[in-house]
Amino acid sequence: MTTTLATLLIIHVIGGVIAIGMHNVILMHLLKKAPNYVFVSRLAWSSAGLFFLSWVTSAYYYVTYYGSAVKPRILAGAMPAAHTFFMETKEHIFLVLPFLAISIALCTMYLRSNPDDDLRKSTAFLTFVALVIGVATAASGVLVSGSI
Amino acid sequence: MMNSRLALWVRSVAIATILTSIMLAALIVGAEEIPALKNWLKLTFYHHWLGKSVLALGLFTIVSLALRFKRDTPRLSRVIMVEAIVVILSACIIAGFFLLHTLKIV
Repeated sequence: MTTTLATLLIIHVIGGVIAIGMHNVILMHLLKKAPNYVFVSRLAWSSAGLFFLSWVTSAYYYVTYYGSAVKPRILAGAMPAAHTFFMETKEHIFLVLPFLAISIALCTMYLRSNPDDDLRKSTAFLTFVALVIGVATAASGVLVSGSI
Repeated sequence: MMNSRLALWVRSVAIATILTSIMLAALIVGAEEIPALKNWLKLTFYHHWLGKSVLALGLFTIVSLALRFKRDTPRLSRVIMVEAIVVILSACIIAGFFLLHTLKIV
């Protein structure tokens, strides 16, 4: 693996993990009766930005390196399901996350000037969904890396 | 005025996310089951995953921009709840399909 690919992979992983962590913090704040929406909104936009960064950096690694150098080794190894289930599911479900993150960010931005308890609760639920998908995606990534 | 404009954005982006997640679930399962579709994605976008990414980004952008002009009073909490449920269903379809594929059932 070249230094560029390694750097992109590190940015993908760290960016994604921080974005997931931010969604966790956003969820914790949205569960309060009166969250600090200025803080939550800034965090939500940062998370959306990091998900897009993670997407772009993973695209280059996945398209130019994973299919030719990593996938054949996983399929020939002791746990081919690491690719056939975990990687396939992870790489596709991830595609929804950046859009979910933008939606969460817009909701929190709206809530800054229009505190609405029903919208706060539904945004919290949406953030919970994004968090579960994010954690599952990251855990699958750990499993894929560990199966080589 | 500013708030109502932002409300329209919240709603249009939520609907765009709903439609994008449905499109992704259909495209992902379709590309695995119909080889011609996967080949078209590869030929057009260099890699099938890039094709899915570009189409998702395109649909999301078009729907977000188009629906923000729809002038009525959106019930935001309901739209966001529907968005969450549709995303859960789409994720279950994708994960379920690859699970059945791994178990060689489909």
